[in-house]
Amino acid sequence: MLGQDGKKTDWRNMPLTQMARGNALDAYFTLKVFHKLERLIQDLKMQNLYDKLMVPAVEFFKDMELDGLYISSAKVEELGSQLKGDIYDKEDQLFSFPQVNKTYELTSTDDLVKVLYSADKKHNIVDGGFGLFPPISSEKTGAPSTSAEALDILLEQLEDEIDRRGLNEQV
Amino acid sequence: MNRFEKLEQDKQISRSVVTSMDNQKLVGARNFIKSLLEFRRSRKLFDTYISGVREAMKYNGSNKIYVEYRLDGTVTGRLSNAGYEAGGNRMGISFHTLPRESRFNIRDYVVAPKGYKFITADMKSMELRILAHLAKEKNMAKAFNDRVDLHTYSAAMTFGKQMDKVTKEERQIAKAVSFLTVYGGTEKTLATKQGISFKKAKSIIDGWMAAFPGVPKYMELVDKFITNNKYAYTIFGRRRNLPNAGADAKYIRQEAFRQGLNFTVQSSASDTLICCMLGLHNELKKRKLGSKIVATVHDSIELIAPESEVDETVSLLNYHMTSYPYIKENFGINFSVPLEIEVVVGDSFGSGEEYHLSNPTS
Repeated sequence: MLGQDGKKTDWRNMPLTQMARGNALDAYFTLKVFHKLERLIQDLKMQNLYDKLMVPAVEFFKDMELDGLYISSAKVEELGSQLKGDIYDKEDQLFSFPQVNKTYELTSTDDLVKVLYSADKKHNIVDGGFGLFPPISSEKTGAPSTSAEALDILLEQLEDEIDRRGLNEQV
Repeated sequence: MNRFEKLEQDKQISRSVVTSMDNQKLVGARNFIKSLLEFRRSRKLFDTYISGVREAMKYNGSNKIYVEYRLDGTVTGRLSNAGYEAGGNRMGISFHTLPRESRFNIRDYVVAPKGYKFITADMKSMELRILAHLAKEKNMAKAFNDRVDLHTYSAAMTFGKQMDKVTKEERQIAKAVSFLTVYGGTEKTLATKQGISFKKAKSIIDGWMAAFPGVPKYMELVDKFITNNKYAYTIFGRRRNLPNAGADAKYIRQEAFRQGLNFTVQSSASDTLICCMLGLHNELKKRKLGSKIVATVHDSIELIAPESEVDETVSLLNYHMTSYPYIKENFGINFSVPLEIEVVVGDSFGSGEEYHLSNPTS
């Protein structure tokens, strides 16, 4: 009945009659399950936990969920513009590297592969970029990875080498 | 070549390429990756916590967001929390994951309404207090009873030093071992996290266990119980079935044991906090106060209170979280270590100052 054909249930826009039927069925089957679980709770000596913690907690959390949390729209916007500014600054910073082609999208994996590894995702060499070697490649496609994990490995290796050459003091 | 061998080989090639780079390119690549990671982090913060909240407020038609709590959302017995389901989508944000970011104070937009204050009460070192109680660990209990910094104390015990001679690094390592015990880690975890050898990690853990002998005894007790019964239970009567405790493979049995040990501590800590909230919630209602519990994040309770009720609310918070009458009355539990809280009062979740009661005994 509900959620048929793989459609997601949209309670907000559901006709009341349909919702009532759904809820009645829900309550009916929940009660059936409850009778089965009630005995189990007793057998497992969990009655006190159920009565003194679980039942009152459900009621308490329900109230808290319905009350919700107050949000300051002004602060959301203020933080939003701070973050946006920061994102633009970082973007400018990234484009200032001569290895980065100005037409690239920094959110595009294909473009980042070119910058980091001087190759495309099929490992064909391209101009520009840092010429690093991908420490991780996709298992399925073999494409070089630009995941956080791959970047962490590269960063660690680069830092190690910079330390080894004593370049940190000079930069 | 299997997957792991290929990964290892690629890492080695990557390292040799790095080694052959000229200085300028080397430093440039490092700086580029650092900036790229920061760029991604800012974008993620924006998408999750700005766009996500804007979308939720638009959907709700108000300056409010709603979150969903799940009492059965984790196997460890802790509460889980997420935005709520609306129109088939997760709407809004998880209150539990609101980051403590120093540059961008995201938590600052969760506010108290006009005329109200936002109160956050944190239970201090809650899981370790629970562990001290469960394990009847006298040295740990002494530290809590004497109200000294537990991690400095355990560093002093572990490394055989006076407390004032403990270095920052030693405190950090002792703290890591304490949490490792609660979360069921091994010397391998400690070695990896602290960048020390396995041998050294093992000797530090051995030192910690010798300093708190009640803990290994408790672990042994839990292990025996789980092996015999294939489940673990908590002081509140909650249980977690652990069928893998009977597995043939040793590492699977060990995993089941770690899960069981972790469950006895984490679930008890979580239930302790829930009970404190229930007691406080009932009392606020009984007194017909305008203060309300609005959220909980692991070891803390968040409230909003009319400005005129702040002192009374904090006083009640203090009573229900440190004297826990609801737990004593309904579960007969009397912790052998004191429970302590830290209260911050301000205008939002992300701001405020530590609050001290004008009359703590009220």
